[in-house]
Amino acid sequence: MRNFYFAVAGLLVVGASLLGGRVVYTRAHSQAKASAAAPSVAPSAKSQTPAAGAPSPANESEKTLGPFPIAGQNYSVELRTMKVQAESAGEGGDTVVAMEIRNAAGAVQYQRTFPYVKGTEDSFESWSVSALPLMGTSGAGLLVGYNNYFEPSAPEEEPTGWFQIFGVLGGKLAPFGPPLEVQGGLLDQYIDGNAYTAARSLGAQADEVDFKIWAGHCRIVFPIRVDWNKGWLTPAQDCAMSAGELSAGCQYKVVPEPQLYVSDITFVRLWPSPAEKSGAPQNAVVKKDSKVELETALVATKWVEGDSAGPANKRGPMDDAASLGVDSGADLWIKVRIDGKEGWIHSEEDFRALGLPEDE
Amino acid sequence: MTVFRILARPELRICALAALVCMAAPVRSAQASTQEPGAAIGVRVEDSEQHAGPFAIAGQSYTVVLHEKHLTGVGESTFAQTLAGIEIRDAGGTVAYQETFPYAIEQGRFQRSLSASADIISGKTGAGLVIHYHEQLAPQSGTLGVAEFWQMFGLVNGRLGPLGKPTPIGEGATGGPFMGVMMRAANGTVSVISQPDTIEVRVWTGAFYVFVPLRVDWNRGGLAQGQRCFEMMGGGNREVGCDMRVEGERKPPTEEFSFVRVFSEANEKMGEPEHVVVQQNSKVEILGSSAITKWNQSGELAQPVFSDLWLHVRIDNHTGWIHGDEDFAAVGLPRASPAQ
Repeated sequence: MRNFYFAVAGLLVVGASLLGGRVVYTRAHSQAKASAAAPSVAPSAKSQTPAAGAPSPANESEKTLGPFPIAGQNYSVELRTMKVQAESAGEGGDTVVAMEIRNAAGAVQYQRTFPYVKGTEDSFESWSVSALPLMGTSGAGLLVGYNNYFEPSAPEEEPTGWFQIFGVLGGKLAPFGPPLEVQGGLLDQYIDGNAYTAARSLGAQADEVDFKIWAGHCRIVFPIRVDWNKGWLTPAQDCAMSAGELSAGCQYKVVPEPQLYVSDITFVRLWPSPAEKSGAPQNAVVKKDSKVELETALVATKWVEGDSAGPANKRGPMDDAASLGVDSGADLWIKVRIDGKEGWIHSEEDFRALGLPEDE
Repeated sequence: MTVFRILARPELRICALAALVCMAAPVRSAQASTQEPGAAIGVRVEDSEQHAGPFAIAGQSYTVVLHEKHLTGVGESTFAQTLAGIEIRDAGGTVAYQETFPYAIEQGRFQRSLSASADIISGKTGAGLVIHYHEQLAPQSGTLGVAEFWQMFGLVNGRLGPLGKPTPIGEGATGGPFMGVMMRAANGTVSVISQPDTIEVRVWTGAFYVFVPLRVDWNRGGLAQGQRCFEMMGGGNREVGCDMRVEGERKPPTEEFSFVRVFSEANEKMGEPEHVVVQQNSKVEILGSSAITKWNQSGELAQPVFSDLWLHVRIDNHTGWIHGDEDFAAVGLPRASPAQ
């Protein structure tokens, strides 16, 4: 079983772990599925450069992702990897210790390092890096994903990873801010071959790029505005609290769940509006063959700016990251339609009755 | 445990009622037919008596006399009569206890209708008399106010007297009831300080009956709650409901579906409830109940008041606890007045 995890980690080095589709229950499972959707990028073994104090050079290798054509130039992502278990053989069980983005001439445009921790069968940690072209209507760039996998770990509905968008500014590839920490991933609907496409245009200079965010009982679609000219990212809609009520900007689309209630019969309480004071709830019967649609979620989200100066490596290799996600303790309301009956649900007992997913 | 079961069992209730009718046929007295303030023109007040008993207690015989007032010439029957007083007489006709109850007439009817029934209540070590009062207040804001009161009597020092309000366990007042306690000393010696007797009274909760246990000290004339329950909470004790037997007469559902939230424990804070749909063909079993019971004193009468009332149910293959009028109604036990 442990060998399986190592094999997964190895695949992720050359794959695109950020291509998280529907992620179910375990991080290992999610990564395995993500790698299945990865573009075919052949690793190219190059010179092996031992790191100071690192295991023998036999445990090291280099791999290249790309080339990725962006604004008329080709870029590649160079990865230096090491075996998580020094004595393990074969392709599996690699962890990335360094990444560089180079232009066609070999000049380094961006670089980042990751710690190496020698693992055992029961306890290990690995880093993986993936990359995809990002295709917008008014710009194009590179979407790089960073994933950290470790054992032992608790199963989660959605893994936490980091995404970083790069674009061309002044003729040079540059990061549009620090990596963005997200518990969620990319949306299947925007994966077009070996590229990730923007959801829609937001004018002549910007595109909306959507991410999937875990909201505790559902996955919401969080839109990010990518400004190609200024080279920065901001939330595409403003979620704010005013007089104790969430603004319209806190309403998000919900990713459909393939499987909900599967038992004989139950019910959920539907409120007319996303507030318990909006009126008495109506009970809606849910049967295993009921048509259940998750329409909208209302939940407080937060966007925390990162450190553009780069990582200080005091709290890990991603301690410069920005983050986006559902605010801690946020009250989640989901607008549902059950056999044509529409309303809002929001409590644990109703989420559970409807069979919505939850972390163990 | 000997129980005040006559009221609990329908067939015995019928027998008891029949006996009461036979033994205590009401005697309508024409001695006091008067025109009273508040009574409409043509409406007069008549007195009547009903006799219940005789009841044999410790070799003595007692009869309960119910003094009633009746309005003549009114259409509505509920508020056309009320209890104005009771007497308990011994075999020689001497009044051992008496109580009067105020009444008022407005808009041609009594403002409250009070009725009472009497019966023997017996335990392992003694017996007494219980009077159950049923009060119905004239409708206000479209709702009927209904209340039940109880009065228990025991023979103390050869005289029949009221036992008073049940005292909460652990809160015995000076001069109050002295309940039995078994003390085990370090050397294993067991001493029994008085032997209490346990009885049950069948009390209407608003949707169903529960059987409330009481402890009686027949010899000293004491009455106390039969149980009181606590749970450890943050280093201290918190009072919680005690389990009680329940009797409910379910009404068949008229809706295709009704809905209940079934908790694993009789505590809203213990886990998320399961959402259960009650269908017309669902098998619903009433397993028990739980509540905190307090006894209020209203004059000489005692009134049980329930809080944190739960019903233990099994609905098809779902077992757990429900509470609240809405959920009680969903299992066929809507809020209603007790059957008289």
